[in-house]
Parts: sequence; structure tokens; C-alpha cells
Amino acid sequence: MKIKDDLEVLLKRDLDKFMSSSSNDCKQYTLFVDHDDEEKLKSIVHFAPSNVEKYAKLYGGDFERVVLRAEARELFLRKVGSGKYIVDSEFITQLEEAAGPVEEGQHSHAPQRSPSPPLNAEYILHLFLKADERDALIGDLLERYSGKCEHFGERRAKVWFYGEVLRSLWPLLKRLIARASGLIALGEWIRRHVS
Amino acid sequence: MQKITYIAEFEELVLLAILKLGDNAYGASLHEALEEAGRKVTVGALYTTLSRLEDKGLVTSWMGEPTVERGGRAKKYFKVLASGCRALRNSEAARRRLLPQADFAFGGVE
Repeated sequence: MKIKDDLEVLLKRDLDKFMSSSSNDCKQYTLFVDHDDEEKLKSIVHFAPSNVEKYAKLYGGDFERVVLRAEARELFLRKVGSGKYIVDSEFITQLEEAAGPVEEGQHSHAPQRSPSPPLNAEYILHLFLKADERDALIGDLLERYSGKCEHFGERRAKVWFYGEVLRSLWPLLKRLIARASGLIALGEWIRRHVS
Repeated sequence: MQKITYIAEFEELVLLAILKLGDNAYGASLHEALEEAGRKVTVGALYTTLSRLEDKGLVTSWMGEPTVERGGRAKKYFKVLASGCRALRNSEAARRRLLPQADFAFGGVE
């Protein structure tokens, strides 16, 4: 399949750019796919369930997360188990052609907008987190950020986000240091007992 | 005889927050619950504590569904294990034994 051959490059930065550029007038569609069983397609926003099978066939069910943005003609995919994002700007056309016209009534699921917090703050946090807690922690921050946006406005929410990230660094750094010290002590113990 | 696991004050609060939230105990809800309880803490500190509690075998976690409002990121849910409840009870019992008299707990001692 073409998409699998073409999209080998890690383009996490493009995903970040895409997330940051989600403005009010841009619709974002998210399609979650259970890679074990194509029947268990999880959550569809805007796209009709009847069309999902066609999408699934197109990308062979090998991707666990697909983010489509119709207006920007962009598509982001995350390979199963890799944690890496790959991006394709043209594939969405194929998807739309395969899906056919949107039937009446399908718009009842209003497109939802994901929050767009300061990405550099998010990136800093990324460096200090364990791989298995990255998604969860950043997702939690995004969820709280969108709540703060609603209550206090975007500017205050951004200040809160920066503060939260900066103050989170110390406990995360302490954990890294503790782990590194443990490894150094273990290395020292092995060196003493082996030599 | 079962091994006693000792917990710090903040670990105790996190365990109580997980118990309070039940099936809805994940990072953001725990963060909010602790804030409402008057304990301001960063998400980073919360996660390091949660990972320590997991290492101690007091809580377990699993990943939930990704949602759009979280930028397509999944929630990580937490549940207190039996050993976690035991640790909470031990901590509470120790505190009760150390209190010299009931008045002290309510500010009766000058």
C-alpha cells in the first residue's frame, strides 16, 4: 500500500505545528482505530460510521491513531506501538474519495476542537517524562488547560500552563537524578565485586 | 505476617483522592480533587507520586480511551489495591496511637 511505503519519516514536529495551528474556524476530525480488530472502530467525529470501513481498508488497520484535518488537507497517523507520528498531506483526498459524499444528518456530531497550549512548554515537559506517561500527563494538562481557557480566557490559561510545566520540572528532574544515582551505585557495586 | 508499607503524607492524600474518585480517578481529576481539598500540587509532582505508589504496589493503572478534548491523548486511570488500603489504615492507626488525647486533635491544647 502506497501510504506505508511513502511515510517513513518521523514528523512529530509537524503534528505539533498542526496542533498549535488549530484555530476556531478549522475543523478537526479524529478517527480512532483499534488495530486489533477493525470492527472495533472507536470514536468517529463527523465521519459517518458507514465510511469507516473504507478508511480502515485504505490504511490496512496498521495505525492506531489517525487525525484528519479536512481544510488543511493533512493527515497524521501514529503507527501501532511506535509512538511516532507520520504525516501525509495528500492522503486525505484519497480518504474522502473513498468515503464518498457526507450524508445528511452526519453533521450532528459537531466537530470538536482540541486545545492549543504553548507547544514549547509541552516539548520541555516531553524531555523529562517516561514514555508510558507522556500521553497521559500531557493529555491531563491539555484537559485542565481547556477548562482554564473557558473560565479565565486563553491568556491566563497559557500563563497557568507555563507555570504548571515549569513547576513540574523539579519533581521530574529529581526522579531522573534518583534513577541515575541508583544506576551509578549499581555500576560501582558491580565494578567492586567483579574486579 | 504481612509486610507493612509506609507512606508519606502526600502519598496518603493521593490514595484518598483515588478512593474518593472511584472509577473516574485519572491525572486531571486527581489534580482537581487535590486542589479542591486545598493542596496545590503540580501535575509533574502528582505523576511522580503516582509512579512511586505503583512501584510500591499500592495502586494499579491502565490506559483509557483517547479523547478529542485531550488532543487525542488517552487517560491513565488509577485504582487503589488492597495493599494501598492496608497502608492507609496503618497510617491512620499510627496517627491515632500517637495523639496524646482527643483534645489535641481539635486544638484544645495550648
